[in-house]
Amino acid sequence: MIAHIARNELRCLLRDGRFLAAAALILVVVLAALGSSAVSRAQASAERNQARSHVRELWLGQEPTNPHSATHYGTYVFKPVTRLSAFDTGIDPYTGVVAHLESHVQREFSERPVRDSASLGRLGETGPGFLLCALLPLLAIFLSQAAVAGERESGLLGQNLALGATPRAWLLGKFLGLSAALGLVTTLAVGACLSAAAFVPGEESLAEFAARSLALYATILLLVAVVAALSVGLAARCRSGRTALALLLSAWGLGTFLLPRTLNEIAEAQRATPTARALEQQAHALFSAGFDGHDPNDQRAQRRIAELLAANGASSVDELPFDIGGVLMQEGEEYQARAYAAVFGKLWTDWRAQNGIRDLAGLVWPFAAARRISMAISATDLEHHVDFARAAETYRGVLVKTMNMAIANNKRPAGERYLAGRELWATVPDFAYRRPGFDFVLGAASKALAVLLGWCSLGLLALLLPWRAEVRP
Amino acid sequence: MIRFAWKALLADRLALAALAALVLALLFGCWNADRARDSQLERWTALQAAQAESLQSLRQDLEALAAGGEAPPAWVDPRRPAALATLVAIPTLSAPPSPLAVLGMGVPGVQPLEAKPTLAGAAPEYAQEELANPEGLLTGRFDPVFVVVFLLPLVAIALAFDLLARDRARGLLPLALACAPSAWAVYAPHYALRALGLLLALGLGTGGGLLLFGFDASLPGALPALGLWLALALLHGLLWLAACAALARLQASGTVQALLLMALWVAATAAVPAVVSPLLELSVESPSRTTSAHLAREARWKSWDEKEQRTDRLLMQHPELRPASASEEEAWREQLETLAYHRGMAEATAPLIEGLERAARERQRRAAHVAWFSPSLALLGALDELTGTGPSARLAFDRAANAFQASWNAFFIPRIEAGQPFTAADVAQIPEFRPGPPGAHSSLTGTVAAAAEPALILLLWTLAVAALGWFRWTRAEPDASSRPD
Repeated sequence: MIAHIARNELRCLLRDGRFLAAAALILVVVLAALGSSAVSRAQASAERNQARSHVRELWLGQEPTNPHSATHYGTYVFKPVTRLSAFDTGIDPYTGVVAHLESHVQREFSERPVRDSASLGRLGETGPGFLLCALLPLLAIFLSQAAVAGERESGLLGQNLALGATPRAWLLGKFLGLSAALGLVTTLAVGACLSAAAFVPGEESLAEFAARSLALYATILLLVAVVAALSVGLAARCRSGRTALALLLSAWGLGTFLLPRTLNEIAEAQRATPTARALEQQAHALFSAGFDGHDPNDQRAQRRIAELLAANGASSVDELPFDIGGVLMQEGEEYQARAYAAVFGKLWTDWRAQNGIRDLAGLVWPFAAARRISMAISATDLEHHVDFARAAETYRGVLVKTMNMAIANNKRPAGERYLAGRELWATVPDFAYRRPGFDFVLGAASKALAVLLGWCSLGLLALLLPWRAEVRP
Repeated sequence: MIRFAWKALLADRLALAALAALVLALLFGCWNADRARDSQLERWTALQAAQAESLQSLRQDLEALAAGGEAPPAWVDPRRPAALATLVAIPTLSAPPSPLAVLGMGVPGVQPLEAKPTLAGAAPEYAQEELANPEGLLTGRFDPVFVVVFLLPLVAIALAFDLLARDRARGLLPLALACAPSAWAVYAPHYALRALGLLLALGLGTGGGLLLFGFDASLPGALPALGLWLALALLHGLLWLAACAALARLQASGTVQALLLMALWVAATAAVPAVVSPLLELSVESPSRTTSAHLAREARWKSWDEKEQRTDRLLMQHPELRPASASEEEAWREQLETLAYHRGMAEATAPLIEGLERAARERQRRAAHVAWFSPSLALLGALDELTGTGPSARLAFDRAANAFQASWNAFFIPRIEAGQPFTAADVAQIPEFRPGPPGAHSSLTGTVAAAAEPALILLLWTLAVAALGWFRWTRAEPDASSRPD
């Protein structure tokens, strides 16, 4: 009986011009957004590869100079582009694409692509991933309204019950039929998106891309199925279809548009992000507790010199087997790096806390949870950004240490300056970033996954809990 | 009829709840915008104070040096104009919040109105960016502009989506039609009172917000801008009421009308921007952020390598610049090299900056054209202009910053070239940046000009939809037969 009702529902939907028109409209909008997103990501990927190799050439092609001067020129790292970012751009347009790595300073990524999006940047997200997570549930709400409340109000429910269908079987059949139709639209839309994304040059292997794509597809399918189950269950239980529709549309609007922004403001009020200037001041306040590696007259530096002299049994820095300047600069650098790690660590903790508040919207509607999972799978969420920033900072540490230690190990007589060349520059390996695996994604989206699974349970309850089929003439 | 419509409105709980929600949303939006305004004001004040403190400290250092104090390293020696112009004395140029900042915050953090002068011209690597949680930027802000663009249509829909359909479903339509010469005569007061309700809610929410969080009406252009802001917000509400009226004659149930209106809302606020925004970005050829960072980097290196040759060339062309005393020559030459480095970088990046600016202007021009197809985008443009967060404010700030840059160069470059040491008496002459608040238009004409095109688009859309509704209402009487909803 359930299969029969489901088949019938699917057949009716596929013959329904309104469903076909709505599905076609969603596909057109998503594909239009996808087309431009894929082209833009492909361009970004090609430019990034070109810039990356050119920056490396610049580093290697430096004229002979003091290694510490070379660290002040530093180098640049560019954020990688993943294939799936064409589907879910996530925070990528809102984080900078490049970070300048130099001695003494850890910088936040700069040059946000959103600066180029005219005044439309203020509208928030508009990528294919967002559109699918927002529009497919809306379609599910509209269809369930017609399928359940419409059938009840037109009297067809009574006929079905008279033919021997139980209310639960009827509801399950409706849900399965509806889910099959929605699954078809989801498969078409997500399939087109992922096929286009596959052509975007990315660093991940095709196997990894396929695995992540499957996970993404499953997430959106789950979201649509949950909303279909809730909509069908609620439409069946509400006395009036109008009430069910009002409730569902309110939850959709709240959870998709209103609540994320409201919670965003609350999060910003609760844990305000410091200004760039304040962050720099915090870092400098921490530096003042250490010592300035550039200034050997600094009292703390003097103490450290005395310690080094005692440890090496020397009476003056000239007797030391290494260049004291290089050692002091490296120790000062390590202290500053620790200070920056503390300051940036706090900044990222604040951002995570803000995101946690914003994610509460997922308790009202599963949109926020699905978006968090989608961004984590596409490697375009905050956790992936932080992971990349940490990798860049580790690389900065290696680069600066190699240069400072080269100074320390190449002591020159007084008045003579050590100049290094390409051999030294080449000892610093090119920056290589390995994106974390799937376990990292699970960690980053674990709470959202739990929330989505909670919504699944609620959807199942909405379908399976007994309800009274009130048949009206 | 009006009394009946009034009673019907008072009895409509959904309509009253929607109006109350609009007032609360506006107040909440004003509170958020007020926090952003306070933060901008605090930052602006801190930067002004830091600049004043820096100048004061510079004066003291110069006096101490003149009295025989210990000289600092050459690259931060305040007696050297090149050190002052590139490191020691450079201010952060910024603008105070606009008079209507409490009604819209734009996208704080993405492109703050801030810049730093260099010695020879702006360079993209000096672009000022603020720390902001990227996920917060992605989500978007909740300010009164968001309320008017996104939520006001929903309130208008809730007010009027089933005015006719509800009466038809309850079997009241024949009765209503029997009381008046035409259906329009019956329902026009309902729509008019709902429009009045919207006006009141907008007035209460906005006025309350301004009263609670402060608004300086004495600033030039503030009152006309506020009036225009409210008029456009009301016009947007009227547009959606007109859409409700036009769809009311479809003879469909209230539910179907609600679904159709929701679909229109999704199309206007999410689908059209989703398609338009990336297309606009792609349609204009421009160096990407990656390319511009990379090119700026290359220019910086090249300019550093060439600074000595450039200085030699300058000295060959202008031997009269060389100081008489040989002892001063080394310090003077170092300063000339700094100048040459900055000039080289400015020359190398000038085409890049010009390309970025041209692309930004072109994108803005195309966005203005696209707005003809979307009243939501047109409204967003107009409100952003009025609250001082639109492209005009950016343009005005850039002009002011460029003018300041010119005065900065005119002050320092002759001193560097002349090898003239800086003294405490010169500190008072260092140029100061004093821009007006963004969005403050000195006249009504300026205010109207800033938002004229988007306002015209919105007006034409409203008139077109209202005309459609009028045509549908007057063409035939509604089907008075009673149908279940």
